Amino acid sequence: MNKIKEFIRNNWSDIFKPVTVLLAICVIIPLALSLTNEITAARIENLAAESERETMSELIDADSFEPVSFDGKNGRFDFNIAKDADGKAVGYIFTTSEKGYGGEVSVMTAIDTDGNIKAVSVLDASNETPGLGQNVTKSGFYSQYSGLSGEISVVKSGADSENNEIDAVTGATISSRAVTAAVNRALQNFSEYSSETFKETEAASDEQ
Amino acid sequence: MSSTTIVSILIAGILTNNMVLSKFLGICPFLGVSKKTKTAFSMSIAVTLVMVISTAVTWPIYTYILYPDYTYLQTIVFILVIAAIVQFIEIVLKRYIKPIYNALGIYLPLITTNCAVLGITMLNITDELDFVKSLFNALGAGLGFMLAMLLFSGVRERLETSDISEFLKGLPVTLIAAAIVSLSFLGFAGIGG
Amino acid sequence: MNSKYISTFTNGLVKENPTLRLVLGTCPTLAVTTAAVNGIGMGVSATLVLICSNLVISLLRNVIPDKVRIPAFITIIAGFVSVVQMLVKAFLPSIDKSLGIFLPLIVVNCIILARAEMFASKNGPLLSVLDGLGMGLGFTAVLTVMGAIREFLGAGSIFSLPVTSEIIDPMIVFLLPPGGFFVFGILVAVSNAAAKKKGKKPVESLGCENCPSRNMCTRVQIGCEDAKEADADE
Repeated sequence: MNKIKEFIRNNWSDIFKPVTVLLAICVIIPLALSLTNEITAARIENLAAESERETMSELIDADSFEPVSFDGKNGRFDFNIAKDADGKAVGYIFTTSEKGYGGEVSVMTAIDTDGNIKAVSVLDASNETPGLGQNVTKSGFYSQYSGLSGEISVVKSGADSENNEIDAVTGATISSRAVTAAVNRALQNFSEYSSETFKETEAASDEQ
Repeated sequence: MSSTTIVSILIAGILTNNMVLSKFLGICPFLGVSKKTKTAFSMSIAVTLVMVISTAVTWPIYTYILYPDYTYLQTIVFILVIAAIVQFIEIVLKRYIKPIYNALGIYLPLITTNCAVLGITMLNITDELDFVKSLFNALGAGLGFMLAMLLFSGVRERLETSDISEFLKGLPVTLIAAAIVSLSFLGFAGIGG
Repeated sequence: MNSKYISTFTNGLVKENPTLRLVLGTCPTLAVTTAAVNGIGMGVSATLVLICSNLVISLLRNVIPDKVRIPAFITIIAGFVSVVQMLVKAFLPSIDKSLGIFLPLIVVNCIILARAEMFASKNGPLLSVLDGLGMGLGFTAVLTVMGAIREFLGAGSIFSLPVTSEIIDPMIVFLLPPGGFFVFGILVAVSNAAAKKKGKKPVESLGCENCPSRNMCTRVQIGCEDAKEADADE
């Protein structure tokens, strides 16, 4: 016992003090972090949910939104059903993302019950080039999607909405394509969901 | 995992999303250690090595330990892990591969506080890449760093002997040369996208 | 107030401005200054971390053994960066989005480690806080000015308020990476010219002379001298 004590005393400033101090710091700092996390985590989550709801209300006029999960062909996806005061579905809202120029571009698409796009909002394009790719967040670009349905394609200029075409943002074809791909995925998710559920309702009405 | 995905990840890292010239990571060594082509090359080899090894260690730590409950510890864990890895590489090289240690050893301590290394390990997480893609992404970023360093050191060797206006002499002209090199990289936009 | 405190505070603002005179923290300087508001966001976040880390490191300067001071400093700084990161996420989500990965990368911003090593570990808490505040504000000021210049030239607006964007097409290249290098180069040239007028040395290069790591690690110092000798040989 005395030997150990002596060993520690002899090597205190050389080995044990540095280790103790470093260990103490490595315990105290993560503790402080977990405390901050306790305080901020709930707020960060609320903030995200709140801003999602806000954007959804901007896209479509509805009284409530019901989150739904659906097993599609390419895996499970989540979306929201927008409902009016009577609880009748007035539209469907999908959040999808695709790889753009610098990273993921995420897009929220509202689709009405007939499968036409009601409105689109680009949620996050912060990894795209400022002044070029980030211009997809301007309404002049994403308002082009309203009213379209089916497979949408991107052209450099002179888009024909009859052919489901939209104009790319000048100098930012890749970012424009990413948004379009995300919107197309939303449309595809919608058609998968609707064909499945409409089958069910038809079957239900047959039985009656 | 197809070879085309790997190629497109590498091309993105080297040309279109070049670490230094379009993401602004690792500017300090880019401006500081690029005076001579030889030093620039050794530094980039060391950075690439540390990037790949760090990714190989931080990715599993994040995915299997930190996610989803302790993600707020990401910054602190990553920087400490990278610091430890750099120390470890240094010791191993010193003990077993002396020639490489002699060539790269002096750059290793600098790399701990190099934002390119911490940056790439974090980008792999935010871009939600899987393990193999992350490794190739780190390799591509390292090679991109090397390309930028080599090109720029060539430019700087020429700058040394040029007659430069008094106003721009020193760091300013280096930065403006960097602007022109990075302008040329804009031409790669769209490749492999 | 003692003049020593005032000069410590003003030191970082002009004489030893971390961005233009010491040329530290170039990565965030170039990366986030695509808009004036991003410059402020980055500057204020870094200032907060700088003040807190300077204070804590100054208080612990007699407790932390010399041997482990770098890992100890890095851990403390990383702790404060994570705290600031969570606060920004919770209260300023739009700033969090536009700073992206550069917010956690404050950890490796050499200004912070350099001030910890060169100032806070040698001075008392009050002086260290003032040093952090001065350096942080100097950093913030340059980032904001540079963000404003790039936003004005590249997007025709300042603080998102349109100035010339309605009249002429802005020069987008100033928002792209080359514009960052170019504007920073001109700013350093102007600051050099001003320094020369006052009889001070202009900033020649960002080599080992200005590298904060040089004083931290003797082996790097040897490395720098090696490189110099190699330069001399050829």
